[in-house]
Amino acid sequence: MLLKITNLRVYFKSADGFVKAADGVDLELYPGEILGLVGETGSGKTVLGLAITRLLPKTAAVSGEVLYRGQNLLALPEEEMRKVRGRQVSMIFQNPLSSLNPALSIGEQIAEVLREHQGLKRKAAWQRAGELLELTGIPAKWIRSYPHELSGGMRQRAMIAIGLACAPSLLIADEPTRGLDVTIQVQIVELLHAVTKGVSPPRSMLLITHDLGVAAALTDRLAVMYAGKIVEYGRTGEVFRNPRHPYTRALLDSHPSNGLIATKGFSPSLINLPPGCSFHPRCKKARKKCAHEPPLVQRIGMDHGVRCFYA
Amino acid sequence: MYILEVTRGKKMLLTGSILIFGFMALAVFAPFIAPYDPDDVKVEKRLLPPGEHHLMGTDGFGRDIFSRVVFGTRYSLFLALVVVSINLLLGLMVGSIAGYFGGLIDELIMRIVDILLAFPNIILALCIVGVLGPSIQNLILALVALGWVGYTRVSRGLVLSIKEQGFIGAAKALGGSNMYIIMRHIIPNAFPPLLVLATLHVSHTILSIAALSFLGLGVQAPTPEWGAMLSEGKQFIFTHPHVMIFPGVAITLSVLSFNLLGEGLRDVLDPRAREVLNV
Amino acid sequence: MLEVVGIKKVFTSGIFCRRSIEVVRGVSFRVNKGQTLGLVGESGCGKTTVGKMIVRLIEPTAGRILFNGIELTRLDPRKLRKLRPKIQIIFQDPDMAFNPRWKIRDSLGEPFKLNRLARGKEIIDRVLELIETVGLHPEHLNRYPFELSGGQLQRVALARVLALQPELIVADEPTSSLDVSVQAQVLTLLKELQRRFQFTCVFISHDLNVARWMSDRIAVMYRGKIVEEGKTESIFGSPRHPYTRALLGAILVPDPEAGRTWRVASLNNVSPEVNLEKAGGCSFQDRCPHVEKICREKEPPLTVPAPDHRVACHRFKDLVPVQANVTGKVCFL
Repeated sequence: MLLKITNLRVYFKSADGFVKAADGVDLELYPGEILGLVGETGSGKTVLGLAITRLLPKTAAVSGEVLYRGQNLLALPEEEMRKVRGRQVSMIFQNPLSSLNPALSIGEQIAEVLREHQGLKRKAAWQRAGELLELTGIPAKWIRSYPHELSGGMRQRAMIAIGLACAPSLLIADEPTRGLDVTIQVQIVELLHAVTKGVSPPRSMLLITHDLGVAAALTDRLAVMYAGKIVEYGRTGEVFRNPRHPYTRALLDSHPSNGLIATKGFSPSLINLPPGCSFHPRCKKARKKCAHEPPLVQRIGMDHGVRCFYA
Repeated sequence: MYILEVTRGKKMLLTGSILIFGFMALAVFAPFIAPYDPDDVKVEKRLLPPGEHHLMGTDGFGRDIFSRVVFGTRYSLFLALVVVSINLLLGLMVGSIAGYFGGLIDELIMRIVDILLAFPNIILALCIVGVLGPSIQNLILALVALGWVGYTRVSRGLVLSIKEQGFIGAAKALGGSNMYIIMRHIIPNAFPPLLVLATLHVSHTILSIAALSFLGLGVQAPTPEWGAMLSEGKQFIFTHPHVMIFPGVAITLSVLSFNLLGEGLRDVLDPRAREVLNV
Repeated sequence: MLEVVGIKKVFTSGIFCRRSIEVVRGVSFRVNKGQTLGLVGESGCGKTTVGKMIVRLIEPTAGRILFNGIELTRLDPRKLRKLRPKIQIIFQDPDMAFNPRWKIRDSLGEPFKLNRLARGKEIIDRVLELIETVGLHPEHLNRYPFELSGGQLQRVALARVLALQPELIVADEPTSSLDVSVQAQVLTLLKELQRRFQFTCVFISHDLNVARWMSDRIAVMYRGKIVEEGKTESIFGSPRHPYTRALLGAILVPDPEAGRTWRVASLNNVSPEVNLEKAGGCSFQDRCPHVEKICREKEPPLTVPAPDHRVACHRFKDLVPVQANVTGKVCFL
């Protein structure tokens, strides 16, 4: 097992109370596997990615265990963690325009990572940067262009090139297709497939997304997150074919390919979660029990679990 | 991280506000606080050191320095506030028009601004007062002549970015006139960042007024203005330093308090501070 | 009814050395009363500019816009102001659509005050009625925009527009910044409101898959021009233009067994610096997999391949007919 997250909690203190961004998350990621983490804005999925790489602001209270190759990342000293980041685990952020440094050319930004982590000399780093750009589909002659000179899709490619710079074993991609045109989205999906499944041995990826189409095209397994908790997990085909949690069902129905069927109500605020099951106020199947008893994860098959009493 | 910034901002805001409130109180209640008449000349009490009867001693004419510093608050603070308010309002109006309408109007206004910005500030002020003669009105005029330009620049920039936001387009589509949109949507959103700038500018203006008065081009003796008091006391700097020290301290303290207020406001009004709750 | 005839927009920048870009290069379409036209294309294709020209936030450089037979492009300002409330727009980014310093109640009251439709107590009643129409609670009225989610704000934007009882609403990518489940809520609401209030709608989107649920007709735009236009069924049933086909092929279906068709659907990559104005010929030539000599020489005119269907392509007859089935799965190219 490459990554094993056990009972991860991330709380933020705010004026109105604790924001429970991740509330007892368990996840497993096998080598060479793409795991999709699906959920809406505010479900805590981005926070999870940041918690694994320990990039959360200092105000966050984190507990639980994040075992990467048997090593608890949460307990690692900052020095050691810095070595893990980039070389072992690297993160592709969702907004390339704000995540790239506007004052440096994309070539310089990749070369910087290479020199920092791999100790490459200036010239070697520059050459490797060119190769990485080619690999991600950016012509190497654009190596001196600045982020603002690139289109949204090209910027995302550059982000992926930076993420790949030190050949990490695990990529964490946070909404890599958000805000891109559909034709570009497909290209990015293709690229992500090529740099994970297309290399040998295959690279693992944690794909954080709200788009079920992207998840279906890329992932091997899926975890659905709602209000800071994983509500369903399983093999991608199984979850799509046989969704057991009412929220997963609702999420699938709301996709434009499946008819844009809306679910009533709004996602709860992470400060004031409803008692019992967080989804019960919006759930069609909800009964009395759901309103005061929080459901636990039930295993309903080989590697398929659901957090619902009536699944 | 943000939460820390907010509390830090709040502390500065609080300290600055208390100090400024203190100065305001001094200005308003000057006749009740000052133990002596600030213009009362008593030759026999010349240059007394700070002591029991005269808290800050007396100056070369035997006037009570404490009373003069207290009454000086009225001039220094009041003048600085007037100058900055005029600059702010003028700059905001002109800058909003330039930014909102754009095109030729914008081009014209901004070229004038560019030309004015090329003048060295204090030298132009010296020229204006020099030509028109020293008086309080001319002092204000001299400080406004170039002062509004900076605000025009900044507010134009702010307006340009506000103008692009959806709610301006929405207001237009809902039937709002240009004047309505500028007054109700643009200016209220451009004002808070400008307020920070203006607060920081008050301290700058206090210094400019003191400097001009020190040079004899601003508020004239015997008016108890801090800069003018410094000027009067400069001949005693080695023999009786207290004559200069106390007005100097007053200037420093007032400058400090406006800086604190400005910095505090900046931290607190920062839009990021509001997002603390929306993780 | 809305009719747009050959509108163009040229943006110029700089006072001394002028540079101009033609963003919309002659667009024509009509939308019948109570119907919805989906205007689909990638970012930068000029679809938003067309939308803003219809609501007159941008002046067209050339062409005519007719609304119920009245030519908006030549109307004097006074008459235009009278007509304005009838033509409304909803923006892409709901976070920016409201004055951040106003409470929702003030923003919702604004159309009434501006157009003197109601005053005082009456405004409060109307605002309360509106907020419930769009499925929100009266308590939302006392909030500031940043306290509401994107989906909730987009509902408020709909409410604000409905205040004026518009006959035409331009919805400019109203859900592109929202999550799928929220998107479904907002679009369902928009459709429901359209059924109830019978307004005409121009629905702008970069996602054909979304546009099809909303639209009676679809117009596909590419680089400032309409390349294909027709009934939604015929666009999906028999897409003619290679670009429309590429857009359909780019739809990522939430079905792992969809055969990963996306891998074959991608287009030739385009470098952004290509200057097409100079190149001449079809504007899609550099990305088109079916490009031939004629495409580089002559600009394709809009032709009618089937009743009530228009396409601008030299080679549409040579392309293999394809069909997209109901779930949006397509296999071609």
